[in-house]
Amino acid sequence: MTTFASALRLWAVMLACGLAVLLGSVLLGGTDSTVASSWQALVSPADTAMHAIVWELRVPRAVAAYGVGGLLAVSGCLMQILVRNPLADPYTLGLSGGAAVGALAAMLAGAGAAITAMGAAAGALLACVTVFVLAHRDLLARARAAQREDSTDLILIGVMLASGFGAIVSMMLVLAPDRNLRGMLFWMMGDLSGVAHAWLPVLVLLACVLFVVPLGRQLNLLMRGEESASALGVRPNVVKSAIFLAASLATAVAVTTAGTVGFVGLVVPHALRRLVGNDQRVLLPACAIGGGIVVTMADTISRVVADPIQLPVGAVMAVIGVPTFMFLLVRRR
Amino acid sequence: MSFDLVAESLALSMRGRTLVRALDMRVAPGQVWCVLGPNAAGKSTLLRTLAGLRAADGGRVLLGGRDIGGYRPIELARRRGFLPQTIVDAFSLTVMDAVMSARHPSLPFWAWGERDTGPAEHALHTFELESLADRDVTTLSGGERQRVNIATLFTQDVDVLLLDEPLSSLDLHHQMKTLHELTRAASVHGKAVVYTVHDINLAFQHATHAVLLDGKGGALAGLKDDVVTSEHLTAAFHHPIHGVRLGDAPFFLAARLHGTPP
Repeated sequence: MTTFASALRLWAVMLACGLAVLLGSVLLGGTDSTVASSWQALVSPADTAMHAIVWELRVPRAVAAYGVGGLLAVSGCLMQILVRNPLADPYTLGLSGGAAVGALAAMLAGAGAAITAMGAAAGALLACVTVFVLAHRDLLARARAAQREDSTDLILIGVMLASGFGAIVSMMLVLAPDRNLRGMLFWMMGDLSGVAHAWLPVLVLLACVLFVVPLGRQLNLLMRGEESASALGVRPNVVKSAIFLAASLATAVAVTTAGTVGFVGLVVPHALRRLVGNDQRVLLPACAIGGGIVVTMADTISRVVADPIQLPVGAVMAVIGVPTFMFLLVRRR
Repeated sequence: MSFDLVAESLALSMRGRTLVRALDMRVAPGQVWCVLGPNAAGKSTLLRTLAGLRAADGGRVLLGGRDIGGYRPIELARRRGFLPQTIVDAFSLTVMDAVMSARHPSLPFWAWGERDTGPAEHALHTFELESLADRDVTTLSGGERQRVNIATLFTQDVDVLLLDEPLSSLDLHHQMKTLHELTRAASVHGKAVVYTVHDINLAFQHATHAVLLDGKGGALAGLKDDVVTSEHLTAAFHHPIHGVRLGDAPFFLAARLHGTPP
């Protein structure tokens, strides 16, 4: 069993790594900037071009990437508990599909970044409300019908909704004029350039973690099944609704900030489960820190490696992450 | 205050079918009740209703004189424990973590519970699971997993233990061991125990009282000698069951169906 002291040590070490990765992301840039000049610009208040690049472009972008990564990893971990299925990720319940439809519709209408973000938020909200209304029997039922242990309604409704949104997105992409297409594709693969509210994801992440970690013991019980959890004093309907809302909010903020960044929400919780065990009280903060590390690293690579072309962060993450995760999977304890 | 678990003219129905019309029983500390009956007779439904996990379809269930529906779930979890028929783990976790999870109701909201390992270690020792403490529950055999679940119930440390088929997938030694620990919990520590089981003879050897359901509304409850008789069993199971004496204890033998010589 992980003690509180060892959990604190783990989080501290991970947080130190996270800060190092953030610093690295701020210091690394394209071919025309050196680490030394970036460092100079970071610490000195001189009003140079480099100072503006570091403080107005790289810092907000790195902070946003960190927040988005943390949100997606925490949301993925919560979704996996909610539907009791290891294959769940933040997008399982159709949230990203809704956000994509909203954002792409805004782009098709020729809207700017701010309206696109609002479109994404509205789409995510719509998807979230739809799932909740359709699956309320699953989420809110006080007493379970006999022998119905799994949240099959919830996951089926989510998957169906996601397919529906996916179809709408395909139609939009086909109908879109060529000049919009590139931006739309980039949004769908995750795009952290031009982030408007860099600190919002980190603040929401902090709020989410503070909200769900006190529920940790109940989440540990819920993970083993609703019947045994309710026999041990958990109200499954209350806890499930709470984590549904937290996970939806986290995903909505992440998607609105950076588009649909895949992979991190599925893989970071699984990788960390293998490394730190499956106590949600330890795992959820670890996901928040670890998810941030992964996305910040991937985003740094995506903007440095092929400078001046930027690669989609989701694709970079998958290219590096898939072999890493396979290694963890094959090297069974 | 006594923590009797009482059913008063309890009715159970499932999908419009009446399973139990009116059941009266009073489970007192120190008693061990076995619940017998054919498949789908409502044994699990009865246990879940007694545990307060589903509402009664008529009559009521009282724990310590209070209607069980009036308890907050966490209060209830400090008094009664329930072992479901199956726990399917979708995710890996260690045996120790699984067993420790049952301490949840006893811990204050903010407690981590790391110093509260005493009951868990004791339960692991009782069910010969110490060597498996660090194993992943998803890698255990069915019988080992069942022992972990029973140890988890004991770790909860409650006055009333309700077990749905605790003996399923256990080998003979561990069946006897589990029944021994259940009867010991009742006779030595004053717990009240109710469990469902299919083996009539094991149940008879390890119970003070019995409930017999026939699945058509009929229910008998009382001292085991009054309830578990060959006439009652034959009627409930629709199968001729004879009582013979083995030493000075009764032994129940189901008649072989015709035309099937071994």
